[in-house]
Amino acid sequence: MRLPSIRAACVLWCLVALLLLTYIATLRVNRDLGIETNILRLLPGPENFPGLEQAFDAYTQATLRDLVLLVGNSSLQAAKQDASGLASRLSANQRVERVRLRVSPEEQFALGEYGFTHRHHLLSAQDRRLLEAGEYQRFADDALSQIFSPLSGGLVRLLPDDPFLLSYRFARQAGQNDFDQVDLDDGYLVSEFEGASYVLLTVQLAASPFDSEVQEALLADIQAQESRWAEEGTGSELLRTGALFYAADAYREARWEISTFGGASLLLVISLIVLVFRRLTQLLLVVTAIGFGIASGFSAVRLLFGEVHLLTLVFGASLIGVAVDYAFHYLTAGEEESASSRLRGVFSAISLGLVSSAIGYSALLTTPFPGLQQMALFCITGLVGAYLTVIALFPVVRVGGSLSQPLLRLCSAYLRLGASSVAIPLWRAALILPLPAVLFTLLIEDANDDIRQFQPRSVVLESQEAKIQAVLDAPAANQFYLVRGDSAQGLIEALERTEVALDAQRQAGVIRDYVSLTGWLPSIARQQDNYRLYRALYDSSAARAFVDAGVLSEAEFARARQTLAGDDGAYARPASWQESAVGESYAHLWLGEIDGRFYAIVPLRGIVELARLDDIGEDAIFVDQIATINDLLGSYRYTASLLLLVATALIFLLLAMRLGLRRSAIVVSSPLIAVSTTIVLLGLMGQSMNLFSVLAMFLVIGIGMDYGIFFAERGRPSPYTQLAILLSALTTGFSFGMLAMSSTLAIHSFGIAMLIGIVTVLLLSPVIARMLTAREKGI
Amino acid sequence: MKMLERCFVVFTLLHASYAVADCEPETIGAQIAASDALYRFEQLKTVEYLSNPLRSSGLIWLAPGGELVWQVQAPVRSTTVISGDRITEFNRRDERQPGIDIALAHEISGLFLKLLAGDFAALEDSFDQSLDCSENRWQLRLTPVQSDMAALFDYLLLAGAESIERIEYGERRGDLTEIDMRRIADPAALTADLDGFLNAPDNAPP
Repeated sequence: MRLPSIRAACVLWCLVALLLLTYIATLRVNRDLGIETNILRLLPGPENFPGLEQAFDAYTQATLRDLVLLVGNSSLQAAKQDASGLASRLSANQRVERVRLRVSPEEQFALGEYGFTHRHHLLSAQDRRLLEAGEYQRFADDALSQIFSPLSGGLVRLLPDDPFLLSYRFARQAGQNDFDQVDLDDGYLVSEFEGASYVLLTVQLAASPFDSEVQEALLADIQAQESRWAEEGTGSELLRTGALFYAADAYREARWEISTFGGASLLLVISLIVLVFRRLTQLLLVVTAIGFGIASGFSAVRLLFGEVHLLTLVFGASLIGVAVDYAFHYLTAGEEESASSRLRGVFSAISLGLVSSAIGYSALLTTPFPGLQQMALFCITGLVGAYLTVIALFPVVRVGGSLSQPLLRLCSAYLRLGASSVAIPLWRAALILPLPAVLFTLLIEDANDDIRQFQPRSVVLESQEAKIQAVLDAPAANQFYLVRGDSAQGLIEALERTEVALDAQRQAGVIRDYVSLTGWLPSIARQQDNYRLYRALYDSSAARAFVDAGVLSEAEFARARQTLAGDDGAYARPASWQESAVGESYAHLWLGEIDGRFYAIVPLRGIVELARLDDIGEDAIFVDQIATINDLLGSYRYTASLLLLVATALIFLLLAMRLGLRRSAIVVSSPLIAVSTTIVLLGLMGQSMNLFSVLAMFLVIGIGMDYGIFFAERGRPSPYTQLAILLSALTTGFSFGMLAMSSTLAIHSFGIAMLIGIVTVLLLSPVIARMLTAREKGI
Repeated sequence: MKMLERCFVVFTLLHASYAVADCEPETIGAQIAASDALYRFEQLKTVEYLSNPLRSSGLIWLAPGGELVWQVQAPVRSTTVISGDRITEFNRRDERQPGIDIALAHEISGLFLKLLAGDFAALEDSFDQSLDCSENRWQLRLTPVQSDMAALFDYLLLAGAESIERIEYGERRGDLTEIDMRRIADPAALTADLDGFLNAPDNAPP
């Protein structure tokens, strides 16, 4: 085989290395590495509701930057005071866009202004029922009670234009926030729960909650304020929830694991390499091959996708396990004197190994799953990078020294196990393992497709979130209705139709309540009906109460009726609503125009029977984010499993062209047995399968194939090849064995599956070597 | 006669000294706090934008626990309970109403509470206080200096003898409120009714 010019290849490699270093360094300096930690970015959007993906994204992005904080104390005054202190501190933080603690008099005025302007067209459901029942006196009584209260304040000034105080009445009933158990108390949003008073504070971040610098800055401020409360003995407690807290928790856990597990495995790997080669040159070469591979993978993904997900990096780091195969195979290639001879000896093996691994990963590229596509691209380009390092850089470096003879003897002894009388019968018996593995997969439905496995669980945060939900009676965060319309008015009408169905659900006890925009922005048709009801109120005998009580003169009341008449047709419309203070407070529910249609969200409160919630007509779909994502994870686990079989079959066909059917079958048997063993053992250990278990099996297939290919190309059971395999297996085992100790289920599953798979292929390597190099009749 | 005259002069001087010595906000405040805390009131509110003033009447009670119960009985019954940092309102059917959300309601309610309890010292940061006494009567004028109060009031005036008999305040927007108060000698029967509002559970009449 003609090899490329070593010197020219090395120069080219150096140029590419320089480009990669420059690219990554530039990204780093500009703080633009683009590492994404948002789980949702791994997933494609739903397919059956055009525009849903953008709507999903808009709503998710709007809420991701929000933090909800509750300051609780047995004294309401103390809770207010401490909440004010916290708000002041957070307002000064540059990472914060806005802090909302008190509804200022100006804000209250602005909120009231919208209600006043449209007072003859806005009507709460409660008042609608009263007016339709003719309960006009109640309106007069309530208004008069308010007017003569010692705290009537400026309400009396509404009398000439709004004698029934309809604007104030509506604002009070419709509510000025999303939460049902929250009252407005001196501008503070407060809730009473189990004997304590809670003051609500909401924070909107100026940057992504997944940015570690944002997390550090916010957490430091919150921690400092809590410490102050403790020092002063105020007795306040802080409840918190928001994407930032969960992301920070996950990041802290991941960083700890990377520094401890990663550090430990790195130390073990370095020690092993130094022990075997007894020179730093080989260590540096291995590290260079791995580093170049990871840099290649990272850069390819960053360029093509514009970002690199953290889980892609985690999975991509597993490149170590495959990339080291090429390096070790070259470095243990025996006592050949020249670099070109050494390279010639391993070139076909590592090339075939690269192609087979690339075929395996390329199957993942065909999925519409951005996460899998990223991982596949990372691994393929990373392996190519490691491969190019071995063939372009390694040959120009004098590796010198000699291999550890005791280890070579150990490898020879290990290889001889393959010649024992039980080796091949055991191998034949192991060929049955795919059957129970298939049975386990089909019969035992113990797959864990919960997206929450992608993050370590925080019991503290989960309990605080549950308490906040209870205190505020907040709408469900992950289940809601997405409603659409062909126009803004069409959307409002669709929302009203949806509400009819949701009212029925509420009556049936399926949900306790829901939040809707149409209370503040009814359709034109409903506004016309509201206006009709108000006319009836003004025409009723109850209206005389204002004159009889001496509150208004006959002339003043007549002018009020004229104002009502003049308001006929002066409807509230979406554009003015959006520009109002009310519209701003509901902005997260009105998604606006997306792809020519209009969308809005209807949050639900107190979901009692989730299974009974479904789409309403054609324009309102029920969204259960967690369930939807979990379903997707499940389907992609299934897809990846099928692709695993397809990839194995394709690799078998490729190898058959080179090695023949018999030998390629022997090569493929090792990783197949390893994967089957993994499935069976996981099942027996009670560990559930998940997407990352399946992804680990792609690596096991790739690594197992490499081991077989190396022996097949060698032509004999070489202790040097066995040493390379032993080194590869041990380094991979150290790396993934550590991952198996992770508290994040996805990473743990990945690690344990890799560990079982690698140990199995290592155990099979002597018999595989024996069969690949023996004559046909012996097998 | 000269001796009598001298005695009379001494008596007058002593009496004048006694009257002047008692004309302190603390003394007046203590006197108010010590008096029975149930009043019947008549209120006249003159609003710039209305041709007719608003007339109402009812009861004001400073409960033993420090709560203030303000019950309007005419023209429409309603009850407001102010206690510390809470304000609760009840309509004519004595049904509890949703939380009050009028700007500065807590500042205003706190002000009334302190005035009716005679706690003038607590208002020193928010108001300049000027006290005039003559014979057995006193008049306290408060001029707001703190911004929130100054945005609402031009002045407040309390007047009385052994108890508060009149509250008057002029608002910055031009409205004038005059409240005439008469202490009720035997409050037991009436306070028993008002007491029910202090501990009324949510959405249930007292």
